[in-house]
Amino acid sequence: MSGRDGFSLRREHLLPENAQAAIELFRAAGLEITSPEARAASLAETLAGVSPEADVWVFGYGSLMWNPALHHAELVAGRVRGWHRRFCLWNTFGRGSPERPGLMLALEPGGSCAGVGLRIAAPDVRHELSLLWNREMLSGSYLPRWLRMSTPQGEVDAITFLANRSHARYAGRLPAERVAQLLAHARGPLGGSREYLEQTVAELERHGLRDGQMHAILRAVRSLA
Amino acid sequence: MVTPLAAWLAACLAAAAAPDRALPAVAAAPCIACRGPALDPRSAFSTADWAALERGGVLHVAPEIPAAPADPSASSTAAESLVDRPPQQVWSVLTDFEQWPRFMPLVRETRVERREGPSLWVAQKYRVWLYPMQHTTVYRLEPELGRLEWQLDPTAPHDIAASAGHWELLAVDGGRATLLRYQATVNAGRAVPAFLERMLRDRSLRQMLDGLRDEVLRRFPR
Repeated sequence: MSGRDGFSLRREHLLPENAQAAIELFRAAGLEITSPEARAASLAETLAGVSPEADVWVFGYGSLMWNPALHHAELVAGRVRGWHRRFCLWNTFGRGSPERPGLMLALEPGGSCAGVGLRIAAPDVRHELSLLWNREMLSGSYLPRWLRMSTPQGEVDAITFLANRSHARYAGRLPAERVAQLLAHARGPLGGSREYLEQTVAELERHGLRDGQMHAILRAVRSLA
Repeated sequence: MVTPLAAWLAACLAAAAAPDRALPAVAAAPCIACRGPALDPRSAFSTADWAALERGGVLHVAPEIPAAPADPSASSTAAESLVDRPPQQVWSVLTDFEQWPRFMPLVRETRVERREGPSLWVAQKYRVWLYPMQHTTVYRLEPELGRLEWQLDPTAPHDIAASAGHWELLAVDGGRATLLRYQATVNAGRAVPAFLERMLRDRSLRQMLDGLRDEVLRRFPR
């Protein structure tokens, strides 16, 4: 997550002692923050039934693809069927502001989604995922879920994050033209939403993957610049 | 000649089978599936998947599971199919519970027993091969999201241990058609060979999605 102003999200920012900066960004945008206890409970629920000896896969479809900021043993191209990525969460705190809101990606039902699978080695699972929860679960706008992911090596179950459609940040249906306008102009303390889109499309292409909607939105955003 | 006793008995049976008109109506929604995501088939689907759906195929997709399954006896399945009709028409058939025996495989009898807000208690009798079974399902209707959630009512007689899931309707191409999504997690509560469970599940899944689509097309011809 690298902005024009040079900010780049690193794993250090996700450590509990440093998470306060992100929390302040959320609070400044008027967003409610989940408590550390609630995040820990959510993670524990997600990992219920996972053996301590088991590696865990995470499916990334947005910034996790190009800036995982997690220690991982393996990164492969992956696809989940039955879900597609969509700019459907308002971003008024990082790559947007209340005055120039941006949008973030989340998974919505229907279709399929190409992305990457990150394998977290068993000894690292609890710690790395706690960092991931500090990154993705601060506001409760995502729902952590296990989905079956296809990889070149076969199918595995992976944790990923769906849009929480009952959350205040859920933007619902937005026409592609409106999405492009928002992404073209959104800017916040972490940079612009456009870079988020640029990086996502670049990473898809790096893996030889295509997402027609993302490519179309990027063309529209570039035409507005 | 019909005796008074037989007539009385027939009337009682008819009354028992008829929908309970005294039940309060489920609140009408201003729109169906209007708050859920709208799908553009050219972007959300691969060309091959979309072609399969248009041919009437059923896609097996990734079920949505909150936690890694701790109960190995429960299994989840999810699938999608396409209905070439708007979500309003699909929803009207899907929530016509007492007509389910006409088009849902295995279902032999359904009766709406109770309504509370958006929830309906529906008693269902069905038959899996030769075995008659029954349970009561609590359905929660969220028409604006195009979502029909259910779970088994454990307080009513039930022949399986647990069942939960949802139907979801997504508008495709501006509401021209509907993507029908189904997910179920079932614990039969008894030892069922895996191959048998898989065969039964896949076959009934296919029959269910096909049956619903065919009923929608029958009721709403173009």
